[in-house]
Amino acid sequence: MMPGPLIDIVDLKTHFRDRRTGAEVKACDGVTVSIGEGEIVGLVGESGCGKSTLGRTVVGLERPSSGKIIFRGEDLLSLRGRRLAESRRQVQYIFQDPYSSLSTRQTIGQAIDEALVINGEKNAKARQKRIEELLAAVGLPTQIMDRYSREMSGGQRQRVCIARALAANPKVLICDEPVSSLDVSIRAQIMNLFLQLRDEMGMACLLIAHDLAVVRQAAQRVYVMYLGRLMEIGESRALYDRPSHPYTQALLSAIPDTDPKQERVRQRIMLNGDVPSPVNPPTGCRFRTRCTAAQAVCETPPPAKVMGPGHIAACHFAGEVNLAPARH
Amino acid sequence: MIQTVGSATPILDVRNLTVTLHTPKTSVRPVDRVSYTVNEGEILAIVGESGSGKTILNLAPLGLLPAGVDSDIEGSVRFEGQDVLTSGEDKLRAVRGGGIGVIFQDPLSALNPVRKIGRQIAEVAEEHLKLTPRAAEQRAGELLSLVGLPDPLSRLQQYPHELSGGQRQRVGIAMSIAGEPRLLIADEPTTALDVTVQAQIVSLLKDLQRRLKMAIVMITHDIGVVSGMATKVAVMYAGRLAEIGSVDDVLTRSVHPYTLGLLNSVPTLKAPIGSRFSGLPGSPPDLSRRIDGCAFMPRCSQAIPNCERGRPPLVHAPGDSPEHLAACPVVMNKLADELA
Repeated sequence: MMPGPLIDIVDLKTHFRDRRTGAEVKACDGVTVSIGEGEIVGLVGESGCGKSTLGRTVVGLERPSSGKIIFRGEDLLSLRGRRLAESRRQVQYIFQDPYSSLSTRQTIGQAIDEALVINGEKNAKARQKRIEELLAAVGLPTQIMDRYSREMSGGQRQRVCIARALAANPKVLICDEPVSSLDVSIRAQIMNLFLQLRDEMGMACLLIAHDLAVVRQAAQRVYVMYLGRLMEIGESRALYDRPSHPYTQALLSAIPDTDPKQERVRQRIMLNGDVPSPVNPPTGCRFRTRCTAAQAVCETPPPAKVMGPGHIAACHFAGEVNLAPARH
Repeated sequence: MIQTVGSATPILDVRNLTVTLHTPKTSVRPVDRVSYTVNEGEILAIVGESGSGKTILNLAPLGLLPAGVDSDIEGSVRFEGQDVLTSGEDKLRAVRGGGIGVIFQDPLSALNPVRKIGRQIAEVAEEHLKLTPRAAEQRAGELLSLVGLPDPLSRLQQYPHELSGGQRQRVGIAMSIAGEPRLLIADEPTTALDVTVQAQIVSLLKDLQRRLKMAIVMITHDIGVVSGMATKVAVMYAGRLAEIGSVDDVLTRSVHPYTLGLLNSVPTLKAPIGSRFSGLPGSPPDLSRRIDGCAFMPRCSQAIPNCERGRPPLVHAPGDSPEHLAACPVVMNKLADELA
């Protein structure tokens, strides 16, 4: 069952204005996501679907146009001053690229120390001890403190970034593609670290990623986003076993198999073209311009069809169309 | 030494290629005595992690190293029988874009942002096929429709920034085949793209390969893409080949612990939900340091004392396939047991 909510993101809209044309870019256009205490929630979709905008809005890097972000009962968008800062502290962000998110002129120790100072720890000795604890928590040796990020591998850097985020004692980490810039053999180490932080510290996570296989294994629940809107939500098992939205089905079918024999015989759904512009999204169902099952009715807004407990698909034909059989 | 089995002269024949790069502080050897061949109609995937030397292996012989890098290249690289390492810049120019087309990982940085797409493609056809500007422009339009770009004629007049990532990669592919190459080198052609677009590009490359009868060398870290496309796979680790063979040999009858670990690291839809991820411990070695013994040993779960003694040579892997080779003392031991 779903744990009690930690963050409720309600009908969140983040629109940008294109400086050149003045057009309104509806990057995130009415999305509702809830993350429970100690829960790993996945948010998946292609680039340009607005998943990063959602994450950045939640941590305050973008200004929302409307909606609510309720963290432990308080709407972050109506809080000001110290109470806002205190809530923000508990929601930390992990960037995709650990190469550009660490200063080249700070040692690892200094980078984490800075985070501790910002979070109000005035005692230098206590900070030193805390740095050691944080490095241990992310699986790095203490000696690494005196080294610079340039001397470290991608996996080690991402561990440092996570240690720095943990310095604020957060309740939830918003992770935007935390492993996609890392080597395949290293990704498992970082993903397991998130699972370990959840199990040992009760750390909740919003895992924003385009790799559906990674998200499936780590997340209890998954949200599928397309062109600023949610297409399907559900518990991992239900969503991956019975994908009900044609977009989810297409995304799953695009995951290649490492077995060449399977790959040769496999039928995959080939989506045509690219994600349309969020300036002028299609009317009705936003996916209809690329959907092979689309009909005239898809020009009207799709209903939120309940497919099972907590499993909802926004599609006129949810549960009726199956573009590809589920794989096991 | 690897001998090609059967068949005529390979399109690409790389022997004992060694590349040493000199920076002001240190020297690194990203490619260390690598040999392989690519025959007509073959798609060879070179798989490896960042820093394994896979890009340098393919771009250094074409003279495509970053400016300002001092390098020593040894061994031989024969393209259709002609050694490109000893060719002068003029000949190399004719090979690059002509006999050998290159697709780069990031289509945006491979295209000139201030010139129209049509001109950029036409230029390649003018240079290598000696077409008139008008004929080349027409050819550019045909190529854009060949790579499946909708409304190709109006695209000719557009600039790279007006296209999406997938469309730009299609333009990059059109440009790479504009000189009618016999060999296409594709450096991570799908890495910067979404999964759904990746599938489109893979099927486009396969289709082009069949129609134009090219050979393709694809450099990638994504094993998923390899299984659906390659006919032959070479796995690189720390500048050397760890394993090479047909796609079925390497991906389904893998013998090198690194290949096995890499395959194991690819998340699949088969793993139990909520289970721990499997990968490899540690990280790849620093190539500026001297490596004695097997470079993979510190990360290998099957390492034996033999692994410290000299870097292992490529030997025939157990099984019936003569072209399946691996460089691993553990495998050699198993083979010896099998024979005994």
